Amino acid sequence: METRRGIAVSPGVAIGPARIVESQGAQIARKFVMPDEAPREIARFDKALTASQQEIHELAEGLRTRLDQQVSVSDIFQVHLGILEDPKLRHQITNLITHRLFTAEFAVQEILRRYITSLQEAGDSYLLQRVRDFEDIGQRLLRNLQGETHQQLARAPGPVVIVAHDLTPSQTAGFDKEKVLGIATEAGGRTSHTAILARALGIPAVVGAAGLINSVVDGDMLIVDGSQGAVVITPDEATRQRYQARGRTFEVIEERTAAEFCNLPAVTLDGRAVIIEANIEFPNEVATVLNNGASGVGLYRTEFLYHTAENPPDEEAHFQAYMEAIRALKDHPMTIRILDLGADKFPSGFPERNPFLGCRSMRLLRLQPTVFRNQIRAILRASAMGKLRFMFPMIANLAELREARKVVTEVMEEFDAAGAVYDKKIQVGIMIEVPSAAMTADLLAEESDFFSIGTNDLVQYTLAVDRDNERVAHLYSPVDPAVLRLIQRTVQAGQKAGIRVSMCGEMAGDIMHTILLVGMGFESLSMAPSVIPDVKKLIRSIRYEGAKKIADHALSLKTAKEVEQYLSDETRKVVPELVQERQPEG
Amino acid sequence: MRFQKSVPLIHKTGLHLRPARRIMDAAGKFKCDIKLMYRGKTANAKSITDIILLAALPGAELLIVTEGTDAQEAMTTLEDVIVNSINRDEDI
Repeated sequence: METRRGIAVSPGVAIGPARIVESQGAQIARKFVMPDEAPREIARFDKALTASQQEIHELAEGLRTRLDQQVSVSDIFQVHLGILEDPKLRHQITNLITHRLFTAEFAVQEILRRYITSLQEAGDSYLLQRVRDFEDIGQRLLRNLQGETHQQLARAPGPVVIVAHDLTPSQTAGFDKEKVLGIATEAGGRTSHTAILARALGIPAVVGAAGLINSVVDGDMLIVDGSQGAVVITPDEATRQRYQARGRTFEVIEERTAAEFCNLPAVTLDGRAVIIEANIEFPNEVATVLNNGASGVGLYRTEFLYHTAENPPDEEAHFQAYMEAIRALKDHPMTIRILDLGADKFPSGFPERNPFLGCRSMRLLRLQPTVFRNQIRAILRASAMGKLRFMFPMIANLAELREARKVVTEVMEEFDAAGAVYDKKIQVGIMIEVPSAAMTADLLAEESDFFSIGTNDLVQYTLAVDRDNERVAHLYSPVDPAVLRLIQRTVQAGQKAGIRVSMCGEMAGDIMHTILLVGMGFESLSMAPSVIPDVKKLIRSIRYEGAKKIADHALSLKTAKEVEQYLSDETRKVVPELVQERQPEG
Repeated sequence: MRFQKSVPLIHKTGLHLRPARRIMDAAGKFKCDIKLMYRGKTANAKSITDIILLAALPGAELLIVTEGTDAQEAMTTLEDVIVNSINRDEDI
């Protein structure tokens, strides 16, 4: 059993055998034709163009009838059609055939490549995801030129889970929900068309799961958890049963509360307000998370700038991404996490015997001062335009914090000297995700403007458990007494120093832990957008005084299992409809 | 007749697929030349590919230039599409 993590883009759980889909798009060799053959090439191209337009008509119509009101989805193909019907496209391609004597195939590839290059040069993350649309159009034309019949992937023999490096919108739209149980890809983002189509088709999907293809063999049993962003490869029987139970109830749960609660504030019955923020990977998610009821972005994971760029993002790339977010934030605050590279995310390239204890996050940035400074500069520049905070990941002791803050001070001095505008009072915080940081939270609080607890790392470091290792995963629990004591210590240190303590780990978005966290005194929680309505509903159904008692009792229990059972019982009492049949994790 | 006018684009994702399609559909109804200019690039507003490749981001100032017999009417329509339709659109 092995688990790969990615971005959850289409909720639900799918369990089935893997079917690996090769990426389309082999390179076309540069070949020429004789001048008298050019008209024939143009005629071939025109025939392929007409056939492609016809296919898209059918695809869009098919989607429209399958999805009833999901007209917006077939709009994606209306745009493909618009491009294929654009006289400019035909003109440019036939020009290359006539004047350069390219074969129709090479001319098509060449023009589409030029379009894609200009999109990439724009450097906007939303536009970059549109590259796939142009590739899709190109591949459709090439396939028709080469006379292949229109084959849809859905013609798979039985229900399968599709695994691919990336999929084109056409491939995704061709999927039949009866035969394609779930989708897992290595590339893509939340707003890629694959993601949008999978959601519209109701197929659970995870994208951005790095290293997936090399871990999966055709026919392997897979679980795609499109709500949490996990792909489990060859799960054991217990894991499989747990997911099966979740798969049955999840749809009812997630749909129901969404509309009702997303716009209400998260205030307990006795008036304690909790700030609910969202975790994002891409700036273009901001609008969606605000619609989901988040009052800001509590964690912007900037590593994903590496996803879309070929080279390390420069200052301008950072700045553009932050500005894109700020424009959509409309004055809501955003907390940017400094690049958290290394370990499981974009490995450093150094040989690491133990990557999680190695050169990752701030330790890696120390060796790459330019990368670090570029990001600080971009954040400071953008801070003049919107409400930004930023935080350092993986701080283990005060010396590291001081070293990082020194760089920030230097950059600020450069700005002052140059008369550049920035928010001089910008808050600089740290992630608390190493046990040593939690233990010395009182010291760190004196030199930090806020804390944000990252539970995934805090749990694994505290308990010495890799939760993706099946033989020890049962030992992983965010409510283990050791973890809870570290969290409590951090909250108390923050309260004493008068700084905000937030949590942005997975634990913050699990309704089983909401009462506990509110009771422990968290002022803000940041989570995946999809869980916000449930968490709000729960907070609005409890009393802060009661939650404090529950937290106290939970902290007095002796084992993780006892705490889990207790919290599950207490949560069920308040919102039985959200807990039904759901098994406690771990 | 030649008209030009600068219009702010505030659609949350910029001039991408659907807004581009809407501009193209509107522009296609006129005989005159209609161009959009942004950051030194020029797009024929009747070509969706051109519009997408302008890569106009939210906050962009788009310069609309219309030239020909029905240029005045085209200007009014294009401005209306961008200001009243695209800028107010909540969808991507």
